[in-house]
Amino acid sequence: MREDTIAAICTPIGTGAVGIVRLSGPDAVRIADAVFFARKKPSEFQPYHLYYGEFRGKRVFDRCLCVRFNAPNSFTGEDVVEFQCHGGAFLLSAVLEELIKQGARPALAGEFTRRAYLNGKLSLSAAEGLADLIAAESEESAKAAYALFREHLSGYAEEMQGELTELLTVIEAAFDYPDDEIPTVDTELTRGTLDRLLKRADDVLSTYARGRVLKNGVRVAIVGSPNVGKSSLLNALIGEDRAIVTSLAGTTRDVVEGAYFYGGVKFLLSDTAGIRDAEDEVEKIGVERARLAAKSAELVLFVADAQRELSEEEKALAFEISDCNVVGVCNKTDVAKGQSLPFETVLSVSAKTGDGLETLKKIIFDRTVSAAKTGVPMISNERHLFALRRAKTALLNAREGLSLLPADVIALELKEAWDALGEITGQSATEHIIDNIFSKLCLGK
Amino acid sequence: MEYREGQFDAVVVGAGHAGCEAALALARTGQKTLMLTLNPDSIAFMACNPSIGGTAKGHLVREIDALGGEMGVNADATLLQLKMLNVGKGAAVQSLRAQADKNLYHTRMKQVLERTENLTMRQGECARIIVENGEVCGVVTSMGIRFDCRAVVLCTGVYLKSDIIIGEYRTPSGPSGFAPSNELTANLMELGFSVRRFKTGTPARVHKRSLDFSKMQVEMGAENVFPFSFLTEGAPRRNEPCFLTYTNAQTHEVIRSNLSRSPLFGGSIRGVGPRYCPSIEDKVVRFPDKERHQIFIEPEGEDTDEMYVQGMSSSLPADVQLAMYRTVAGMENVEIIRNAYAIEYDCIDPQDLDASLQFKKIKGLFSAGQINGSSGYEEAAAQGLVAGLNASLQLRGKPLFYPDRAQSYIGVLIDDLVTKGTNEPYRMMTARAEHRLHLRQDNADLRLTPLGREMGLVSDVRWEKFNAACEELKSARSHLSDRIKPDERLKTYFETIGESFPVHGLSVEELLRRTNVRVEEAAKELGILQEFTPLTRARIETEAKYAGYLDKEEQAIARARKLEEKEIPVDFNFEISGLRLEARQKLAMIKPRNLGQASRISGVSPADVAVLMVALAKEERK
Repeated sequence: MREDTIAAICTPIGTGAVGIVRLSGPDAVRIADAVFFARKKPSEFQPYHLYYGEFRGKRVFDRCLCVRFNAPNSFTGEDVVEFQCHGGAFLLSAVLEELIKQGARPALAGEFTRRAYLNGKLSLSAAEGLADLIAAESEESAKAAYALFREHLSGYAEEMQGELTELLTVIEAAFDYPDDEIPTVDTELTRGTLDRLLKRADDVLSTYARGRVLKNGVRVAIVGSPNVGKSSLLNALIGEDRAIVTSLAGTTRDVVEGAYFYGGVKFLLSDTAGIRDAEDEVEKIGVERARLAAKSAELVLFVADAQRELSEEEKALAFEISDCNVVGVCNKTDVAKGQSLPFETVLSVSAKTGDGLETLKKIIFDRTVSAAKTGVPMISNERHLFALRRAKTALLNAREGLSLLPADVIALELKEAWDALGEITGQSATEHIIDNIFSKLCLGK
Repeated sequence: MEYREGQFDAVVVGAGHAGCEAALALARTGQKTLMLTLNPDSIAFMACNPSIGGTAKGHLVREIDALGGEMGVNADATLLQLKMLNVGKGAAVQSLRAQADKNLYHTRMKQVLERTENLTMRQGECARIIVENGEVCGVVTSMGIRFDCRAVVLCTGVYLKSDIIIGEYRTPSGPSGFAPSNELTANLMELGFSVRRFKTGTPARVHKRSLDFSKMQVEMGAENVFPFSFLTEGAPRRNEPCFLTYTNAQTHEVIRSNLSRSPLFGGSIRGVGPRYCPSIEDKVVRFPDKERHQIFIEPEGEDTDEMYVQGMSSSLPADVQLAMYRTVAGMENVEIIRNAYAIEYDCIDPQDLDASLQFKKIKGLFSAGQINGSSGYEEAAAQGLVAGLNASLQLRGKPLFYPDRAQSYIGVLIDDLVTKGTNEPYRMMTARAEHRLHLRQDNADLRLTPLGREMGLVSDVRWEKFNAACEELKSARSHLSDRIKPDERLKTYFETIGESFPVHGLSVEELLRRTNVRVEEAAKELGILQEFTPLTRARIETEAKYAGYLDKEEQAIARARKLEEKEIPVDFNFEISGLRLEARQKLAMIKPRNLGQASRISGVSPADVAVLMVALAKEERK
């Protein structure tokens, strides 16, 4: 019997200087060999000994520790390899992604523990830990931020399943009712549907990078001269969400000074040093940082004082960032009338009275999150990524085999795609297809 | 006045397709068995179409046969025509279907029963099951005859309080005028069964001489097909024609204008009918855009001129039936011998049973067939065999047989029934089986015969044949690596089938993997695998063609089996904190035997299963 190999980050995200990524299953050592480089290959490691070396992947590099446990003397009872990396959400998820690229599957919630149980390795404390984990998972999925993404993605996956159901209905009905008059499966039509489904899978797969950004938070840089009210704007935007700042430590290399939620999405604000005559060194670094922050952010808020015209420096900065996604903000409208700024979107607010802040938040949301919504939902979760890749592989197999393989195998691939999408929608194929057979087709004696 | 007529190990109530297999399974494994039937003339009676098999149903027949049942042998001996369905759609969905001779099928089965050792046949209506201390200890007939026993298998079919309905006419009756069973339902309710009412129907039987076959299309069987039973030698002897014709606009008009007189639409029928077996009025109403519906005229047997009108089951009044049938091409002067009718009957909720088909609340009480909410002869026979075999195993003090979804369609059928229940008469479909490539009709013996032997139902003759077939298969597999030279013969063959020519030749396995290669053709053209039977050749062809897919499916099966192996104790308490209320109630009702079954209950989420797992781990540690 051959299980697949699963991987997951085992330490809480965003806290701690060290994070552990675990691989478990028959391919664990093979996968480790492909990514970890030390004086010995993981396959040659002495089990239960730590080795220092390099984790190398396409998007990741880390000097870290690696340890191998042999089946059945491991937590899960299978071959296990663990990487003890530097902490930080980005690094760890890149490590995980590399492992998945090498053939591992993202573990389901509690799956290590589940395997441990099925292999008779589960300790009582671990069993209780699992119950907590399940509880935590349902709390997590109940969170608005998560629900918003999931709903959109799951609707999209359901639409894909719907098209598959129609295809399968005709194929399956023809199996079970060979004498009935059923519209025959048109190969070209089927190919067309499969192409369309493949495109949809690709569309959503390509959002993964962006989806992850959204999940980890949309970065918004606040730039502008000193005393235009950047800090007060930042504080006003953060409002009651100030508390979340502390929990962000270590998640990003940028200086994040505050964050707030809007529309279920987390926005990370970075305030930068004011831009002024850059004669002194420290200030120079500040300006440089402002530019960098602006370039690496999803959106830039260019803040100006409503009481005065733009200075030369401000104009220079505005020019500098003109290729970024910028919203001009005219602050202090409680004491002066707004003025024009050289940006497409300009808004007048008062950080002091809160005037215009809701509109600003909505604009920020629209310019970052909604802009990406072209009807294609974003994925940010490795499990969804994996499910969609599985669906895509099955769809490709079905399309390749369309005029070569017997219908029962094509049906098998289509069902595989359906069930892979089921990991997102939480549904399984059989009942849907059978129901559809009887509601759409006139069958039986 | 009650009197005792005898003592048996087991009593089988009913002699339909389920009852026959149940009684034979018991008697053949040495249990003193009584078969109680309302009427011995209705033994193995085909109340609806004169046909055995069909997609997925043909698989069931093969599996019944592989376990040592009678249906396949009986069908082979009495069939009028045999066909392999879905040829060209892949090995997984190919299935046998036979037109059977209705009377011969009945007579032969009756004779087999009469001549089986340990089996007593007795006419009588079971009125009551006697239960003491939660265990079965006998049955009493409506005439007051008591039979003592330690196991009862209920196979009452559609006879429980059945009504026949034709238009405004409704009368208490079993199928085809046989008497219904009126008393047992009340007793079943007392015993704790949930009783429901289902409905099904059948078309008219018409006189052959009144049909004009020149207006219909002839449908013959196939000449070279393997029979149902692994015991039967040679191809079928008979090939009688069926005939295809169609309804038309006029037919539909007659139906539409008489819908107000249909008991189905606003009339007296309340029972739940099957979606996959709609009456003609149902089809016309639900699919108004369909211009015509297929009608197959099937022979009922060689000693009768009655013909079965497949596709036109109905409960419309008799005058409407005649008018409607006469609109069909070739049926303009049709003489109806028996009217089409709907039948309503009582059945139980199969969720009251565990996967051995034993009632959870009463030891020794089993049930099988349409009483469990299924439909079809094959579905009934499969359950009959399992219920009878389990009654026997229990009487013999052996572990019971819980058919596995990954091992047979029988397993899928029974697991679906007892785990998910059913809201309509349940029909087997290949779409219901998740491991379809593995559950093929050609390997039913490989999957099940060793199991049947272990449980004592597989005879020495069958066992010897099986072992010989295994040896042959092994030997055929050893030829897979044989090289085929790239000679003229291969070149010609590859040209005719449109495959690219391998200049260095190829192995038999590589040959069989080619999409356009058919093993029978190749064997003839290239002179390979000559010493083997067509069945063996077909098996290695499938193994070669599906190799990668079969491996993948086997992995999925192994994964599923891990959950099946985690057993849940019978008296396990599902009041676990962390389980949602719905899951708790469902689990307590179904009482799944293992985690796999628990995970298939509707309303039990993966998270619930994980919580259950934790509770089980704690329990194990106690």
